[in-house]
Amino acid sequence: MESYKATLANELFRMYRRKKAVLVVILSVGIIAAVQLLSLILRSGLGILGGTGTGFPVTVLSIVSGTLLPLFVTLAVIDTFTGEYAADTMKITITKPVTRLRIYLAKLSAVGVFVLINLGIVLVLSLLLTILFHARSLSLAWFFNVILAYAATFFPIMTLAVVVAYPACVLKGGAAVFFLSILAYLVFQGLGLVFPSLSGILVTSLLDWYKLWTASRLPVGSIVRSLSVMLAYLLIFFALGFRRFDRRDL
Amino acid sequence: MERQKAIEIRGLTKVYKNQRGIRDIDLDVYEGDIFALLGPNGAGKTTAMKIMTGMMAPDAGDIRIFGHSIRTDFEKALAPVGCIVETASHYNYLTAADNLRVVARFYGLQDPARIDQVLEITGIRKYKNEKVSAFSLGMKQRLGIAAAILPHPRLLVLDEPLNGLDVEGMVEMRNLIKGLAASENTTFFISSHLVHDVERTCDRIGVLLDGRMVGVSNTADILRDHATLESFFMSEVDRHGKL
Repeated sequence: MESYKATLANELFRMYRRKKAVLVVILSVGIIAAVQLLSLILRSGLGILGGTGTGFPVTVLSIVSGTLLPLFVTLAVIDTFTGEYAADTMKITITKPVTRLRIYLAKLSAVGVFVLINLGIVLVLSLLLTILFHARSLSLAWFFNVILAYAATFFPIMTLAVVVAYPACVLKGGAAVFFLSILAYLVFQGLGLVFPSLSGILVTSLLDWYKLWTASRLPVGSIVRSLSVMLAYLLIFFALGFRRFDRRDL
Repeated sequence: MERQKAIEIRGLTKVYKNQRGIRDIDLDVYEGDIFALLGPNGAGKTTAMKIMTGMMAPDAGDIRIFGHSIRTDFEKALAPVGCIVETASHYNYLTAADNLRVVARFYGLQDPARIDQVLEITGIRKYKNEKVSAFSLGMKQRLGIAAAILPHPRLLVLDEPLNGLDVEGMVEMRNLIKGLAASENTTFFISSHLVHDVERTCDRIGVLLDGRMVGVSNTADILRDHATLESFFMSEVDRHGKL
């Protein structure tokens, strides 16, 4: 367990020291600012009724969970696995007294912490802006709903991370993994549109899982089905990814 | 009194697709030995070291380090080991001190003074807070050595440790190896193509040819029968019909 903690601490330390982490924070803040600005323009500047109102945090989440977060997570996973193989730094960890299973778990955990921090920043900022502009129409139920939506988003994003970790351990170039991930994402999105009956089992359809949790009536059956699909993805791709990571010679 | 085995290799085999690699290697290295693995390019020296340090899985056989198998008890086997295999690798976007902090965490080392100490030993203390991306090959090699000796390892596995070092660095490295062996009874498992340096530094030699261990002898015994280690090595190569 100590070796797992040390590996996780190192992964987080290195992630923090890289400029890419700062870029991710800047982009997250940028998207919030853009959505808020658009909302303000719609509400007052152009005289159009609408805007996001108290739904602002969830509107931001729908944009972030469908675009930026999958992109950031894919890049983080590529950096963590393919990037380290390419830079010949994987051996720094591999040659230390830590089993490959613990290294693999620690690397994915670090990506998980990255996702949590990212979601946390977006959540806090969007909450602050909503409180600033709509303080009078807020309630505890609203607050609970927003927290639930953000918490629920963590699981499909992590499922995506575990799925991407497999090609990241197989392919040699980060660019190849990135383009394969983008291609797979587009194909899955397209399949979901052309064959709606398939959407329930596509990993990309799981990204808006938070909507099930924020529905006025909790759709237990749909939640359980989506959770089962996520677990299946996690088990299959964790096994495939770890097998590849464990057997890859340096 | 019988010395403890630091490394115990039994039936170690790893064959690549091109049929090169190592085959059925047996070897014992004892605590306090400065053991050198000699062999021409492609003989399998680095392969043996990679298996020993977890970078590669063997096809067959096992290595026990201070009694712990790398196959079944990897963390305990690697706990007393420091290494440089092929090239010294570092995170270029981190400073020298940060790179060593990363290594220190794996061994639960808390004392920041130890980082200054190893940087001092390897002669790069003044570059402590500089990013590794600005380091020369020699400085990277020195930092690699600093990282390898950081946790006070009982066994140091060094693949071509003199790579990239200037003459001064080579002399310092030789003194460091001898010093650690004498003061901390550190065991060394070294590969080098610099036969003269091996002759001056190592007390036991193993010759690896075409993936097989063809002989293990004490340096003193070799030098009793041969003028130099180089002539011994060449005679071994000739004897086995490989050059």
